[in-house]
Amino acid sequence: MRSLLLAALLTAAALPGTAASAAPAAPAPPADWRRAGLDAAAQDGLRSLGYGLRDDGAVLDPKTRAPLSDPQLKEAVARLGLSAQRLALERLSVLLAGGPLTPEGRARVEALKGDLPDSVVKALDAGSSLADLRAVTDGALADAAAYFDASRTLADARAAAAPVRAGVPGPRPRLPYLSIGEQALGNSLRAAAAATLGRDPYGRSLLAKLAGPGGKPDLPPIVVEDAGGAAAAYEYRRGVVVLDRESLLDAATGAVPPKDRVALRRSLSSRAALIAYLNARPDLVAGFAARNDAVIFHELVHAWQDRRDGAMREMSRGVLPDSLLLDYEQEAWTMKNLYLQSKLEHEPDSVVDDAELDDYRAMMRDPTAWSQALRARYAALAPVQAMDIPEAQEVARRRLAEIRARRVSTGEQQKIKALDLLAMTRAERALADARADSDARLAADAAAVKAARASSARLLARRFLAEARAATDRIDFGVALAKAERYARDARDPALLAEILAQKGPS
Amino acid sequence: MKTFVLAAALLALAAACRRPGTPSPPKADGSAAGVTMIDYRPADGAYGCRAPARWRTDEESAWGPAVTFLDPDGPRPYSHSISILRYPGKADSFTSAAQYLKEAGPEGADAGPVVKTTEDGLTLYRYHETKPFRSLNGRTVLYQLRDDVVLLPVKGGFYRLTHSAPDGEYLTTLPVFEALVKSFRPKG
Repeated sequence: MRSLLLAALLTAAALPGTAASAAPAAPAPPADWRRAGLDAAAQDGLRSLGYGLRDDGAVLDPKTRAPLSDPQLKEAVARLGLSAQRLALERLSVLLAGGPLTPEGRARVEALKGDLPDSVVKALDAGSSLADLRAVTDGALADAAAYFDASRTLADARAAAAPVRAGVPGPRPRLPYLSIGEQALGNSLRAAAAATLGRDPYGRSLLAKLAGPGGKPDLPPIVVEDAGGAAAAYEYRRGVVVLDRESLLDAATGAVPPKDRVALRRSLSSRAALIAYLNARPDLVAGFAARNDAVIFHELVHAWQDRRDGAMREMSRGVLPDSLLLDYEQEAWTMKNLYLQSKLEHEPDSVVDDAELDDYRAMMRDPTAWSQALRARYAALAPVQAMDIPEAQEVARRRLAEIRARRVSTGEQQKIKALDLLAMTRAERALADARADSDARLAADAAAVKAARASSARLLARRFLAEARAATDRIDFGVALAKAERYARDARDPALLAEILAQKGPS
Repeated sequence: MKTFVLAAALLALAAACRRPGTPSPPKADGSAAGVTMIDYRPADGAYGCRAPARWRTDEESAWGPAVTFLDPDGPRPYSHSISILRYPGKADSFTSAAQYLKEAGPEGADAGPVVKTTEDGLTLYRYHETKPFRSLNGRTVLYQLRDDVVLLPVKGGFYRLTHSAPDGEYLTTLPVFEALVKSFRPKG
């Protein structure tokens, strides 16, 4: 099935006039992503490429914003699948290059099977020799690479090879917003996020890292979309922060009396209605940004990484494979927690007691175990995409060798090969630079966390003491005071503990 | 298929022990809960132990010496894991198991008491606790994760050996962890 699909796609990509960008001979039926039964991963993948998935089922092209036809949607989805297949084959190739598979290596191969083509799965299941496995893997990889190569033009290769000025996000789809209303909401959210982060010194330090040419914070566009269970995400393909539509819907309906919530939720079921509602209520938008600042901070760290290093830029161009670099994730989670530490110190009332604060407490309690658990979580939930920079470098080396070995027969193919070599060499260097800097950054983060731990329990005690004092309900008062007492004991601060116990009054 | 697996396992057993940080050949075969175990030694040779052969091995050193073995099988691949961490790490200042238990010991309503035992001449502190396991970048709690923790004091610090698994399934791989703990031998 997959082989047939690949063959068909290769043919389509190789023949002029049959690619997705070409005009169809006869009007094709418009695509409807809901009827097509796309799973959440496919929806996320399309959105990350800049496709707009409208509530009425239409799928908008990333560049032209015109609705896709059914065949165009099918090809876009197939291309997504092939991209995942190519990464799985590249990881398999790296594993096979190390010699006979160890039991552990074999288990890793098992985890890749879902994304491997049938020919490779059959070879694995048949117990083929290492040489045969390498041959069938290399063959499938060449087919997958050929699809992407054949579907690219000289202009695409030139665009991918063009140098990008340091600090600039690089080529991205020009229109991250699908409508004027969406853009207005995005601008409100950006302004609200900048205002919230700007109240804190550590928040300001991140804003400074994201400063534009005029020295003012230049946050990436913010869009509101279905985020598949995530509260937020940074999408390097579009260079945007995605905030979860459901979370904003909860915020909108949570602000009205309970009796009105069901009706309001129903009236805001379309994305356009939700955007219009929020655009009319800037205070609601500001409140959302203030309550979700830690999540937004995390994603803005990824935006900074994108501007700082070349790795995500090369991923967005398709030069490097789509991956979740664990060093980047650890940096983003750590900085988010150091932001919370700073807020606890300077504006404790503004720290929300939520999952983000739970994560902060876990890191401050035992940073070593927290770091290990974070990586294990990514290994469990993104086994193919999550990787260390050294592993990404292995895959990049494999791609470079593949380009070098590519045969060319025309002048244009020769030019494309030269440009691809240029792009891939630059991408390899970007990863090497990121790796060199990452070690120093992780060490600096470790030192910052170690220093912060000394005051963490005291700051938490003060935060919960303040919450207890502000409580209007006896139960809320008791819960907050118990937390304050616990952290004051952890902090071994007798004066603070006495102040907290005095709140209890005579028993 | 079975023939291939057997042949591959025999061929790969020696190779498995040549993976980074494991220079010595296996001393003996054995299994725990149906899981084949092999000898494991980290790159710095600080300890040796039996470890599950097929489990994915992540040796990362971002914030201190650490290795994690992740179970590729089961309905949720890689959701069962065993980690070995050496303290003090780069981001903490825990210098003894006693200090660790005081400052970062069992937490939560489901946490078990700390039990001090002597096993094969080594002093161990055991406890368990549960915590929410969340989605990536999200607030959705996917399940409760149970940690079975063993602290093993050594000169200048201690090791934290942890078995992590979804609360309702942890018993299936706990014997693998116990086999690792029983075989764990710090250098010196």
